[in-house]
Amino acid sequence: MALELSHITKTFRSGGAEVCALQDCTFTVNDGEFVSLIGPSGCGKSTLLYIAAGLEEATSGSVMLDDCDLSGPGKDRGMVFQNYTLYPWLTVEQNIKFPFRLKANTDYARPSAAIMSDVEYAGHLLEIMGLAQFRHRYPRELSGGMKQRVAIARALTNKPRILLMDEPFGALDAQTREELQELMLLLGLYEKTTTLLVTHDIEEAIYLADRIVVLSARPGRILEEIKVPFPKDRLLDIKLTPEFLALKRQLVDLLHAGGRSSSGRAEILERLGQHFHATTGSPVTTTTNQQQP
Amino acid sequence: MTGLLSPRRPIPRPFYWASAVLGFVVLLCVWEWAAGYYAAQGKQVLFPSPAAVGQVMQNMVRGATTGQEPAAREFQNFAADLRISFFRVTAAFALAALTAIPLGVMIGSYRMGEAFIQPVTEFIRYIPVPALIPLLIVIFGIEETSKIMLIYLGTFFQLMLMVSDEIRRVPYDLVQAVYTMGGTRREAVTEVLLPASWPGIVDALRLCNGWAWSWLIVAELVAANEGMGFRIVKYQRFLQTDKIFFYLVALGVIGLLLDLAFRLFSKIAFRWNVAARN
Repeated sequence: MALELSHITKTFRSGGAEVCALQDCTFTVNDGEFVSLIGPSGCGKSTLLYIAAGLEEATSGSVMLDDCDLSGPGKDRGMVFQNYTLYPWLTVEQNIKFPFRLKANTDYARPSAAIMSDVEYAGHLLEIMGLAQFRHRYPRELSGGMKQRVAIARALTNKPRILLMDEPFGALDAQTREELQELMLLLGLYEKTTTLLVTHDIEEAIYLADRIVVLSARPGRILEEIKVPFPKDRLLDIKLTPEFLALKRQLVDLLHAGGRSSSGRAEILERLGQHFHATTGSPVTTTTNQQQP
Repeated sequence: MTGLLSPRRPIPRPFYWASAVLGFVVLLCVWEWAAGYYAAQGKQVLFPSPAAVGQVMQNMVRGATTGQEPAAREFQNFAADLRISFFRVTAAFALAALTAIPLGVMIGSYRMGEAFIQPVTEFIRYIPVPALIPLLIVIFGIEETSKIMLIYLGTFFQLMLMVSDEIRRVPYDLVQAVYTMGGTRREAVTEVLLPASWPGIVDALRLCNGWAWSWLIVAELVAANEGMGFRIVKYQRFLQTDKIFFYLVALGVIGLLLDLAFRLFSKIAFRWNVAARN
């Protein structure tokens, strides 16, 4: 068991009132496994990921990695953020090799051969991620997709036990997103990376994951854990298979349980009806509106 | 939207340069007109024309090249003024940078530092620096120290607060990223906050250098026996306004050149930084 979150609860104060963001969340990510964490917006899934990364503190509960209690962030958990977080003053290559600027990675206790092989590994990452010809570019010269590739490579440079990803492809266009999803799949296949992905994209969650953890609306509780019935080596085509669509249906129903989306629709329709003629779609003045029954 | 008057849109280079030249032409016209107005009343000595100032400039050049008296003497004075003024500004400015940058980084990085230093400096900052001149003269005498201290006090507080603002402007997720790579809190400052802020800090230095020259003149107007400010007061006494104008133009040119030097340095050193233009 690589990562183990047990009974994570997070409350915070907002305007004097105690707000519960996460309630008793327990789940694990196994070695080599890809787990997607999904939930309605504002349910605290990113908070849960930040707690796993050690960047936020849980009010109660514990985070364990390889059966060791964790507190605070560390290089054993690599993180990919939504906003790329590349260092704009460093080139692509310098960004990927940034971890070697830190004491934690140039420790005198470590044999220099080990450090050298790590640096070599960073060089491989540059090639694997298809960044070789961009190595001397600065982040501002890269597209969003390229930036996120650099961020993933940088997070992998440390050879972390687990890769934590916070809606990494949310800001990308559909085509680039699929490219990067493909890349993540193959990385998992070849590098046996262990990954915990937070996303709001149900298709992405299914396509990439071995297992999906579904969080409820605030306060975030774990609604269900669903195994994805596809082999690790999968192709984009599976998105069109009945199993995939059935799973998608199941997740949509789970996320929208309580009729939140349908009541939203009714509300919007009502508001629209007050200001527009349903038949013509043209604005109506308040006077004609009042004449109607 | 395109066109010469679309808000914030770029315009063709020739139009830009033409407009810049036009700005100077307008300034010269206003100057010429004002000089003519005074000359019509027979008071041209109060407000010299551009031509008169050009005459002073020519005279300086003649002094520099031929060594003919009294032009040579005038030029030597000018060179000496320039040298001592430059020294005063640079000494004070270097001192301000050396002290304000580390403190600004501390204020911007650590809330403890902010609470410890900022409220106190906000208070001191609102004491008008010229109000300190008599005290500075009493404490440091009328030699170089009091002048350098005045320029230093005039720039230090501003620079420190500007540096701290630059540090605070760095997105926090850049810091979080370094932690997930095993970085320490110290490394969050040295490897992330500081390098991310350098372009902003250099820009703050550029602005403060301009202010340093203003404080220099204040210091030299009050008590000095050489320097640009001193010479301006001296020419005032002899009603040599054309020479005053020459010194003003010189100060403007110095400011422009230093500003350009800072910008050029930024452009070369921080190639990674997207310029704020467009």
